[in-house]
Amino acid sequence: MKTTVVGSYPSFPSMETMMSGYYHHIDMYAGCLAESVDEQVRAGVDIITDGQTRGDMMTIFAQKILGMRLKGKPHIINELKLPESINLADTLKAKELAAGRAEIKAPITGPSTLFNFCINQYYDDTTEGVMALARVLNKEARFLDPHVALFQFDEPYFAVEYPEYAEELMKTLTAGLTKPVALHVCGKVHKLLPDLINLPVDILDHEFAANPGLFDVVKELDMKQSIGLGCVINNVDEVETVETIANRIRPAAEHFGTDRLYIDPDCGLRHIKKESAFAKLQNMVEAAKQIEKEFR
Amino acid sequence: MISFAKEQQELSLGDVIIGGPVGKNPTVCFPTILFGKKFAILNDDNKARARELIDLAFQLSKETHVPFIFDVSIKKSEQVAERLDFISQVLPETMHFCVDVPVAEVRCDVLNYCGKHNLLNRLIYNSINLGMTDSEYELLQSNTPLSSIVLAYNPKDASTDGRVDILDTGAGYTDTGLINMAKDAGVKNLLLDTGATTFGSFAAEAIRSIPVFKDKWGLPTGCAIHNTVDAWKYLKTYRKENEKAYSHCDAISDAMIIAYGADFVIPGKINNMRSIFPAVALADMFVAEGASDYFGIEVAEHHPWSKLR
Repeated sequence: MKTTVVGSYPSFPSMETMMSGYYHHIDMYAGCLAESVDEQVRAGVDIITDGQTRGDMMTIFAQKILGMRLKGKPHIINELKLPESINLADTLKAKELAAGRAEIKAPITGPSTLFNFCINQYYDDTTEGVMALARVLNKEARFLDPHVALFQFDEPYFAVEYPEYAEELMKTLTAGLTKPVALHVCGKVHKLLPDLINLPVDILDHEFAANPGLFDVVKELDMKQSIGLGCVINNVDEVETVETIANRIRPAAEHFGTDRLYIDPDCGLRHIKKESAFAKLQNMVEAAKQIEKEFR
Repeated sequence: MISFAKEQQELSLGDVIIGGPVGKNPTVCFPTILFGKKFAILNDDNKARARELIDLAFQLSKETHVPFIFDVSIKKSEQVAERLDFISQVLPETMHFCVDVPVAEVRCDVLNYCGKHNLLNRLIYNSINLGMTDSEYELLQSNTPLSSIVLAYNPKDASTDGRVDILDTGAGYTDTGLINMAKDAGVKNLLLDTGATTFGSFAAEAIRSIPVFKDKWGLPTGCAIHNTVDAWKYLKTYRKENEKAYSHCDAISDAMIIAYGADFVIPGKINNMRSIFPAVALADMFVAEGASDYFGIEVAEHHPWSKLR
């Protein structure tokens, strides 16, 4: 059983750092990346991310994809291309800073979610645009493939509107990747799960803490994938006790066995205080160890 | 070359006129003085050198008809009195000056000093920006400079929309936009700096923002595009053996923003002025001729185009 995170960590540059970024041309997010990695490692998380500190899950990608123009919301104004990696430098830096104490996961916003967030002024229809974006994000993933232990594609939009071409979409998105792939869909996915289990992914990651009834749906399904078990509420500062978290993990461990579980928060931690995020991760790691011991 | 439906304000900064319809008035240069290690601590030698450079600026301005205002570099509180003393002694009494002060605390010291020594009417405050502290803003309201640069740096969104947002609404950082804050503090003359960023951080948006700002607010607009050139990694290496190339690149960057309608350029160290002043004059020649031919703008008599055709 491994512990991981979904993506974002609440480390933000101070006003002084931001102004230094302007006056002295320093990378104002370098410190945030270092802090995110340090805190995830100190909390004991097995598979960490770079903290996604450069922006929200849309902007990080939109500002680097050719054909997307940032004008308030991203506008798709031309054919979408990716001349160079969006996140390779930060991924390598995170790996360097982790120094073998944790593996690295690459969270990538999914094409359906990202496309539907943008204002489309180029593609004739959504399907064409989403598939074009899938090819772009696949290219990003292939840049990162040699350097990460795990991928996670984030598709919260699946819970809003599930595309009929989802299987083809995921095949395009994951083509050529050599590492395990997780699909993270937050929100109420009870009715969606029977479709999701048919997708060519290795891990299905969902918000089990915020949706306690979700596990009852999951355990009735004949699913091949491992489970990304969101077991910590990600958007309130109150820190759950080790016991509370362990109680959330235990039924899943009983049903699936610990080998098929990835333990993580429900979603990104960007919106809570740093102190809360760290304490939640610490308790989550402790709870996972406790369950691992119980089931050995 | 460019014209705006929005009326473009003309401001008088001492004897220098800035702004107005594109092509009417010459672009104003803000060369930086007392910058760098050689001027870290003022002494008789480097003051003499500074006077030489100041005289050079006056000479080049006379030859090229490019008006200028000095941008005085002040990094620490202990430099405030000495540098402002020096400047107010060497410059003509009516000449305005700008202060290049990245640190909020030091900007407060500048305001206090200028307030005490009756210099607020000559001071162009550089700048009102996101890094302004509460105490700085409070002081700005009691020791109000006549003129200020307002810097459109938005760390969250470096697109033109983001830069507009920080001036217009505060972009979530402040309750109101930086322009309103400047006006509420009582600053009469506002100059907008689009905020030069490095390559890879939407550098071109600093240029593209110029006509957008002028169309929206009608205020004199420019930027220190020199900072993008200075931070360019390739040039940092290349210039070690080709220093002239750096001056040329610097001059080109200023010409580029003038072509987009800039009313002022902040071109960096005064040492480069032999390249910068003629380049600014050249760019101004094109812009003025285009404004006259195509838009029927009456070019000012003191403009390089009027003098050097």
